Amino acid sequence: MTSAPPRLVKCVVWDIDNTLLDGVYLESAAAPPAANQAMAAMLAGLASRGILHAIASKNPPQAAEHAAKVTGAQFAAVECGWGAKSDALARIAADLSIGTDALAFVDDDPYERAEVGAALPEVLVLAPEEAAEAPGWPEFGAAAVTDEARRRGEMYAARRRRQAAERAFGGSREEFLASAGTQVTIAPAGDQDVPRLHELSARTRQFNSAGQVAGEAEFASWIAAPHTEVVTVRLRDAFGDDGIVGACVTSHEPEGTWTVRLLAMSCRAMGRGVIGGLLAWLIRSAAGAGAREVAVPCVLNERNVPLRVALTGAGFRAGTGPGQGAAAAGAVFRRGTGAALPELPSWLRAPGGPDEPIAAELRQMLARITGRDEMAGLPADAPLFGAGVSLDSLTGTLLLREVQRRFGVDVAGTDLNLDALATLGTLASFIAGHGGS
Amino acid sequence: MTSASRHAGTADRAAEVWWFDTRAVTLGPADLVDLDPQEAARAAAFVFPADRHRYQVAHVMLRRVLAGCLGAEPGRLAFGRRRCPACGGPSGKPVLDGLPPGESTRGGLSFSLAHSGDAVAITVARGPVGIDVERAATGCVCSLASAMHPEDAALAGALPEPERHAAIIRWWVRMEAALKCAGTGIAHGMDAFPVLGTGCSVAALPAPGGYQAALAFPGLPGSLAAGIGGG
Repeated sequence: MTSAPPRLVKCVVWDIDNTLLDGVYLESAAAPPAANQAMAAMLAGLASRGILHAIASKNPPQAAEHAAKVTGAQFAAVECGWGAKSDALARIAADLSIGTDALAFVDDDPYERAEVGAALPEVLVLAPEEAAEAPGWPEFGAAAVTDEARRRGEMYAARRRRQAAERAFGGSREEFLASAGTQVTIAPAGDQDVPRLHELSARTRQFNSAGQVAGEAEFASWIAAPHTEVVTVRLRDAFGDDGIVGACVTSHEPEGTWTVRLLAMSCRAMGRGVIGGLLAWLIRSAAGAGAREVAVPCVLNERNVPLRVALTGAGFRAGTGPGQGAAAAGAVFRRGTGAALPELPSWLRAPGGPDEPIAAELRQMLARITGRDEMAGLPADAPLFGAGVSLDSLTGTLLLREVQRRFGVDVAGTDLNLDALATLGTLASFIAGHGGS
Repeated sequence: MTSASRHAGTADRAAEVWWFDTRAVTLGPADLVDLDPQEAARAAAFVFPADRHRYQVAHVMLRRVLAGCLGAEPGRLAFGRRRCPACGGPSGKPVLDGLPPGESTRGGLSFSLAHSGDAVAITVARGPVGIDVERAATGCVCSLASAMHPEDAALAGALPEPERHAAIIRWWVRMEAALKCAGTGIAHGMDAFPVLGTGCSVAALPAPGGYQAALAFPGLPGSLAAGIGGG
């Protein structure tokens, strides 16, 4: 662990009049003012780093729509109304599942800045002229290098649609997750995942077991280390693809304890069955490998209570353990593998299933044959032909020839209807069922 | 339609070929309304946006090309499939639907569609026609030799690397074009007879860089150039 986490701004809350706009909306509603060009450029620059934008304005909602149109920005949350702006900021933070200490606030009105600064001292409060130079400050992080960061605004837009659908849905949460086509995929991490793993370590608070940020070099050495498993957790559903939302680093020690050295999960995954699925997979994998118990050393701070609640819910119990000196405000959460094992949710795809090594190899074959790296992340239930990924006939034939060469299973000769070819998962099952390995 | 280019067919057969580069085509909602519910549902089911885009370009452009040939509205064309001449199953040659009984094609008009990578090729002819296009494979294609008729495999096997790879892809596009012309497609295998035995004349078609394409008509080939050895 290399450094204490810097305070990072995840969302900038903007005033509209004389801040986002060059003028006052209500004074000229017939021909509303244009965007302030400096602020519009900042909106785009910060969004490309994965920083969200929100609006807190004492204007009608049409003003926010106008501001979005003329600045070209996406706003993850909008609070329009006549209450205190500090209350609006608190609602925005709650809506986005982030802390108020991850907010910055930009307003031209000194009264509003003072009100927010007094009520929420943890918020970074800026005048527009200060905001212009703020992107150079460490609070706004570095330029985004991961796809997840660049697409963050889009993912929050999907989140708003998902929440609206869930409010309208009549059934249980599990039924909603299934009906929304939720897919959680746990997969071994590779070197290409290192920037995102580091980002998760640096940016997550509520589901983060560690007190310090792990650097990219540290993740790279974990990936290469023996007896250490680094996995990524991907999340997608019909509303959108959230990409990699979680990371878990586990050391498999000789004495039969699996120790989780780092568990980090984006708050976007909250309430979507992801943390429970990951913990269930960990426990079942440890049991399958003959380990006695799973141990999760976890710092105790006020921010990661959601992680500790999830651990307790999965049957972990806190105690102090070896290696936890008095200096570390931490506890070790332990769960034995002898007790009844948790069920894996149906929407979870993870290593360890009987077909998974075959499916993993099929993905590599597909990536090689098509020359498309994205095939490495193909979900098991994606149709291979027709829709889905629509392999063309040449690629499909090459795949079957390669399957025959590698696994000794002649799919086309054995299953003339080619039902086995429906999805990656059915093909892997077919190969496993016909003696391929 | 700046990405389209037209080639005349072979000298003795009348076919026209339209090429589209999917990277140069942007489709908006006003373009996609032409697709029928089945096409829209298939497009929606793709995992990767690039695959969806290629499918949408291929099917929107097929409708526009055919509509231009027929003087019809692109969105009002209906498609169906003939029965497979090999097995009688429902997955035979795609055709324009809603035709009078006994008439297999409207005004004798027939079409074939192929896509690979960023390339979409559409051909229209008076009478059966088949087209195929393939992007040069990124990896080894030698395993396809086991999918070939022994005669074709021997021809390809006699060539040194890297000519053998090019010959195998050339064989593939010719065989697939011929099987599409016949209406069986490749589902029943490609090794029952050599390309020269398909009963089709097959000619190489000028294609964008990095691609190979072929066009097939019913009838005996005019020359050995329809085999896999020729350029």
